[in-house]
Amino acid sequence: MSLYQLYASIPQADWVGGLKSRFPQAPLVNGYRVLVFTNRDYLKLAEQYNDKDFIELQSGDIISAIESGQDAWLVCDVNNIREVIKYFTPPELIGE
Amino acid sequence: MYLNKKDLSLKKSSKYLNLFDLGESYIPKSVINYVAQLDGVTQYWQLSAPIQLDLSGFALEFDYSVISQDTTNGLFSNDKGLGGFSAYERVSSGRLATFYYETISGTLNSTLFGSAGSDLGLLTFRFEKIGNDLTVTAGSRNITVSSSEFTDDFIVKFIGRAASLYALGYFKNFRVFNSSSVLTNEIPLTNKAQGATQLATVGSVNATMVNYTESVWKDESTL
Repeated sequence: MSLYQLYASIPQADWVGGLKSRFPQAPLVNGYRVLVFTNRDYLKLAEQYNDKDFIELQSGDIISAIESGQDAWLVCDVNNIREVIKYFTPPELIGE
Repeated sequence: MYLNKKDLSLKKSSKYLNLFDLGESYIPKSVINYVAQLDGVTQYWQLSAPIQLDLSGFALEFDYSVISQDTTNGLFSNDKGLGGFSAYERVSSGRLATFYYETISGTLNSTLFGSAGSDLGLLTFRFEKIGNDLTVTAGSRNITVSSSEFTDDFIVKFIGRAASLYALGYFKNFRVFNSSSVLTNEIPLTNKAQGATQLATVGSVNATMVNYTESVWKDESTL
C-alpha cells in the first residue's frame, strides 16, 4: 500500500472536543484545525468519528466551506491544503 | 510438476540446499537512504531545547534540498518569528534567485544569483560567525556581512520553519560548531526507525517533527 498524507480541516470545537491530544499542534486556519494523517489512517479516523461528515474537496470548495462555517470535515491532499492555508494565512511579506 | 510436502522435505534434506540458501542470501540488497520530506505547510522540526550558539563564534550548517518550486522556505529560527536570527530561501524562475536572513535589527538581504539549475538540489547551507563577520554559504555561493548589526542572542529552536514560512523539502546533517570549531550538536535527521523524534548523535538536543506521519520518509534517491 502506497503511503501518502491527507489533511482534514475540522471545526475548532471538534478538535477541542477530543482530538487535541492526538493532534496537539494542528495548525489553526480561520477557525478550523488542520489534521495531518496518512491514507492508511483515514478509514480508522472515519470509523472512529462516524458521526462526522467527511467530505473530500478541492481547495476552492474547502475555502468556501470554511468561510461559510460548515461542520463537515474537509479532506484533501497536500497540494490542495497548501492552497487553502496560503489563502487564509499568506506568507509574511519579504523584501526583494 | 508440483511439489508436495514430501518432496519439499526431501529437498530440505538435500546436500544442495545450503548452496541454494547461500545463493539467496548473497543477492545484494541496496541500502535505502531515507530522508524526511516536509510538506511546506504544517511540518517542521522542533528542537527539544533551544540551541544557544557560541556568541564568540559559531558555525551552523545543514543540508537542505532546494527545489525549483517558487516558494519561500523557512530554514531555521528561534521562536521569535522573523525577528530573531533566522533564515529563509526562495527559488524563483528555476534559480536560487534570492536568499535572505533577518536579524532583530531589520532585514539583511543577501543575494545569491545562480545559473538556472545549478543551485537546485541538495545544498549545504552554512552560517559561520567569526568575529564580527557572518558568512552565509549556500552550495558554492557565499556572502559575508558584518554581524555587528546582530542584537539577537543567536538561538535556534526550529528547523524548517521561520514564522509562517515552512520549508518544502528535506533537511539532514544538522550541525553546530563552537568558536573552537568543536562539533557540539549533530542531528542527522535520517533515521526512519526513530520516527518523529530524531536523536542527536552529538550533544543532547533532539528534534521532533511537528505534525509527523510515517509517510514523510522517502528514499532520497527518488527525490
